[in-house]
Order: sequence, then structure tokens, then C-alpha cells
Amino acid sequence: MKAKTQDKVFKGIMLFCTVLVLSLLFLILGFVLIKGIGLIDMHFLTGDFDAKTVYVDLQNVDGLNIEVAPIEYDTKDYLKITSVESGSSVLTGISNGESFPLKKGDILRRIEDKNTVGMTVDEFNSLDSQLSGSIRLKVTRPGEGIFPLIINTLSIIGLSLLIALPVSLFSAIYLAEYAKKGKLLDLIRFTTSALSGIPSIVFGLFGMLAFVTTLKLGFSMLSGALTLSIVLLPTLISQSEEAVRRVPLTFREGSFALGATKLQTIFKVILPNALSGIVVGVLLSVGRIVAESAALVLTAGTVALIPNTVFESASTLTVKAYTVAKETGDIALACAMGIVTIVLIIVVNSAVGIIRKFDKMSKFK
Amino acid sequence: MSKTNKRPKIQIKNLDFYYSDFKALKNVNLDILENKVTAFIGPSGCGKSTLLRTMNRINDLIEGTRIEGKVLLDDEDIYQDNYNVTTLRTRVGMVFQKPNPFPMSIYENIAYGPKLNGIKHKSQLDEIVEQSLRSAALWGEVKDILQSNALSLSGGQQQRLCISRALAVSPEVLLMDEPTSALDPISTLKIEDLIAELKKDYTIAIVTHNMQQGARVSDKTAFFLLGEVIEFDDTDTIFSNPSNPKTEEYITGKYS
Repeated sequence: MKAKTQDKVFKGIMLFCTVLVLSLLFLILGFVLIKGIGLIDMHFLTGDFDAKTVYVDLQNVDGLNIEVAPIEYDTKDYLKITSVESGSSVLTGISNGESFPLKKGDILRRIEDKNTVGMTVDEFNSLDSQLSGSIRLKVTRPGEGIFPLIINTLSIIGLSLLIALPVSLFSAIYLAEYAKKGKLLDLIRFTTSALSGIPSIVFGLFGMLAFVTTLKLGFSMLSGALTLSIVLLPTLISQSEEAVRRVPLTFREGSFALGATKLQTIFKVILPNALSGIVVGVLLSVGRIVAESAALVLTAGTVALIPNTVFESASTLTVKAYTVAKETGDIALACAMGIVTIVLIIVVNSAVGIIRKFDKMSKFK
Repeated sequence: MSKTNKRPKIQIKNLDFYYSDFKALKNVNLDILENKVTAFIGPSGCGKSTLLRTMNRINDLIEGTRIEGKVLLDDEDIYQDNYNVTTLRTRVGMVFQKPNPFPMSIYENIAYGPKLNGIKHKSQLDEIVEQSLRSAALWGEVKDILQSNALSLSGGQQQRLCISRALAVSPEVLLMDEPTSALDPISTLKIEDLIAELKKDYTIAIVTHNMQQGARVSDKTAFFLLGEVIEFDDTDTIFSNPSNPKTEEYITGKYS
């Protein structure tokens, strides 16, 4: 009887802990979702992060053929474009010699010499009917879109892997196929596993010192990618080594028995068979980069623009979420970025799951 | 057994083999005759597979192995310094205990060896693939599915695929390490028929756990015990009138 009571008590405690953990998780997810979901729309995903105010020149105007609605911007009332008819002259807008077609969401600040502050829609329409020939508009394209951040995140993923993947693949092949068992191999293993336990802020400090200042790369996409590739090395190496080792001995024997050299066997039999394991390592790395902020704040900087070269600063989604929350206190915006990040991570993790499952079914039965 | 062709293709002379400190073969001497099937029998761990694997130097892959003595292929020592092991392995092909096709298409499996040897022309490869599959009596079953994954074949078909793959590099000798131990009786029978067919063109050495199989397919049989060749003679003699009492004990089922 006593044993039964004990059993029930412990079962109860375990259940309570599980429920507690789950509800905490849902609380966090729910908080991020509720705070941020309202901001997510097409403009958020495809727009620039920084607001941009420009003068736009239009030619051959015969009325603007747009619809507007009042909007409050920067504490004043302006007019916002709500739709643009096809063939409208605003689509041929030119700003500073470059094509700048206006689109839905743009804010009209000035039409010729007429300020739009406080202008009603009716006033606009009567003004619009008089417009003809060449005119000049002052337009603000509002920011808070994350398109550059997404592009930067993807670019840093690509660049980091471009640096880290070949290095880790060659190391992994060396460790699995060539290195003799012994003290040196143990030391290398110890070092890689120790590296993977180091908090990323330490890598960030190192990257700042080594790449940003000593190599004079500045706060740039390249500094960030170099730093991240170091962060990724341990995971990539151990994942790839494991994948190479898992290729059964029978495949190697089969290949050697046909007169293949070691190199031929590695490239034609071992690597293709280790591919899915290596891809899993790559995806885990992608997840790590998407989630990384500390190492990047200190190396890639926080500029929310798509850089022209890798030597310019480029903020990723997570870094910007961090700076937005810290500097402007705009939690809703940070949460909206958080949602996009979570979605990215879920996609990557599901891909890992699918590959692993597929791998188990297809091979080594 | 009284064919005139008695030229030894492979000669093993005073061979000792070590896995680190363990001596797996002790002073082995035997000849593998050209166009004959030589069977190695004996209980598990007696060294028969080890001996087979010295003949194409596939044991080199295992760390810590060492040999003393000589293995001659056409009177040339294959363990001499600077011997070309890659060429050796194209001359001495091997079929393993468990079918081990590469996880690629049937066609690619067979073209793998020829491609390594620098054959690139599609038509030439096509011809080799067809020829090898015919030789292994598999062409009829797979000619319409050459591009499907080799792992989709049955175990017996996979093993015959591995035999075709070995034949595709036109070897002179074929080593078979318990090639039917993972197969069902019908597939086993097919492989045994195949061996009888193949010995016209190839010299074959086969390790087998199955004594009836040894008796059915081979011309010469060597009986191994604890790393030593106890008796080596014509298969008929070994199975009907062995001279060593230990051989008799084994073939009447006292070990295994």
C-alpha cells in the first residue's frame, strides 16, 4: 500500500513538472506570437528596414491616377498611397537619376510646392485633377521591413558555409580515414569538442580582435562570416567525421577490391554515402547561424541594409531583433522578427528530421 | 580431376600471418591451380578467410596486420616492395560474404571498376555491363531495370551483381569469401551453378562453411585448423578418403 502511494506521489510530481515546462514553452511562443503577429504583412517581409525620403520626378503627368488615405507619420497627418492604377505616371518615377516607381504604402509629403500635411482626400483629388506635364513629389517610403535582414542572414549563411564546409570536410576525411589512432587523434577530438562548448560571445570577442581590428576588415559581412565559420567548425567536423565513419567497411572493401585507390574510394563511394549525414551537419549549422546574435553583433555590425560588398556591415535578423529590443524598446517589432526566426528554425529542423528518417529507411538495413 | 592443365596460378609459400600479436596463419603452403576451383574449409576462426584475403592484399586495409613468407601470382611475389596493389586487385577479383553492392544503380555498380581503369565511352561501358551481367547469369533478370537502385534487388541477385561487378574488370582469379552464407537455398544453387560455369575462364578460390557446397563445386580442397593447413588434396580424396584423422573428424561433423 505504501509503495503504491509513493508511486502516485512521484507520478504526480513528474506530471506537474512536464505540464510546467510545456506551459512555459507555450507562454513564450504565445507571447512572441501575440506581440508580433500584427506587424507581419507583405510590406514587413519585402520592405526596407530604414525609412527613405526622396524627391521623385514624374513626366507626362495627366492626373496621378492613384488613391490615397490619410495617415499619421512622424506625429503629423499625411497622405498614404492605397492603390496605384496600371499605367499611372507614378510608376515611371525617377529619383536621383534612378528609376523609383511609387507603390502602395508610400507616403506623399509634398506635391510640387504644396505640403500635404493636414490635406484631406477631397483636397488631394481636386489638386490631382490640375496636375499635368512634369511634376516633382516628395515621398517617404516607410521602413520596418525585414527584407534586407533576411537577405543578409541568407548571405552570411552562404558565406560562412563556403568558408567552413571545405575545411571541415577535409579535416573530417583526414580524421576518419587517414589519422592513426593515438594521442594526436584524441587531442584533436578533445579540442573540437571543447571548442563546441565555448559560448559564442567569446568567439565574437576573438573575431572582433582578429578580423575587425587586426586584419582591418571592419564591422563587415566578411568578419561575421569568418567568425561564424569558426563557431561552426566543431559541429561540422564531428558531424561529417561521424557520417564518413558510418559508411560500412563492406563498401570500402568492395571498392578497393575492384582496384580503386584510397582517394577514388573516398570521392566515389564514401562521400556520396556520407552525404546525408553531412547535409544534416550543414543544416544544424544553418540553424546555429540563424539563431546567432552575440558573435555577429561584435563582428558584422548592425546596419540593416543589403551591403554592396562583403566588406560592409550587414545585420542579420536576430542581431537586429536584439538591437531593436535594446535600443528602441520596440518589443512588437522584435517579436515579429522573432516569429520569422522561429519559422526559419522550424523549417531547418524539419528538414533535418526528414533527412534522418529517409536515411534510416534507405540505407544500412 | 585428371585434366592436364596443372599450372599453379597462385602459390603460397611458408606464409605466416599476424593480426598484431595474434598469429592467424602458420607456415601455409599451397598452390591454387589455373582454371580450377579450390575450396578452403574448416571451423570458424581457422584462418581460411584470412588466407583468401592475403591473395588480393585486401587485408592491408586492417591496421596492424603483417605477413611473413611469399604469395606468388604467376611466379611474381605480390608482397614485394613497390608492387602495384591496384593492378593486383583488378587481376584478382573478390566477392564478399555479404552482398555489398554500392547504393547506386545496377549499371553504375558494374561500370564502377571499368571507369576506374579509364574506360569512358558509353558504348564500351554498355558492352562491358551487358557481358558481365550475362556471365553472372543476371542479364535476363535486370536488363530492363539497369538504372534502378542495386539495393532494390533480392539478396541472391545482389550477390550475382557483385560477381558481375568483379568480372567487369576482367580478372584472372576470383576469390569468393563464403559467397552464399547470407543467401537462401535457391539463390545458393544458382551461385554454385555459376561457379561451375565460371571456372572455364577463371581461376577460383572459395571459402565455404558448407561442406556439401565444398564437395559440389570444388576440384581441390584445403582443410584448415587453427591457422594451419591440415590437409590439401583433390576434393574427392578429402571427402571420401582423408588421410588425416582430424580432417575426417571435421567432415563427419565433429567440429563446426
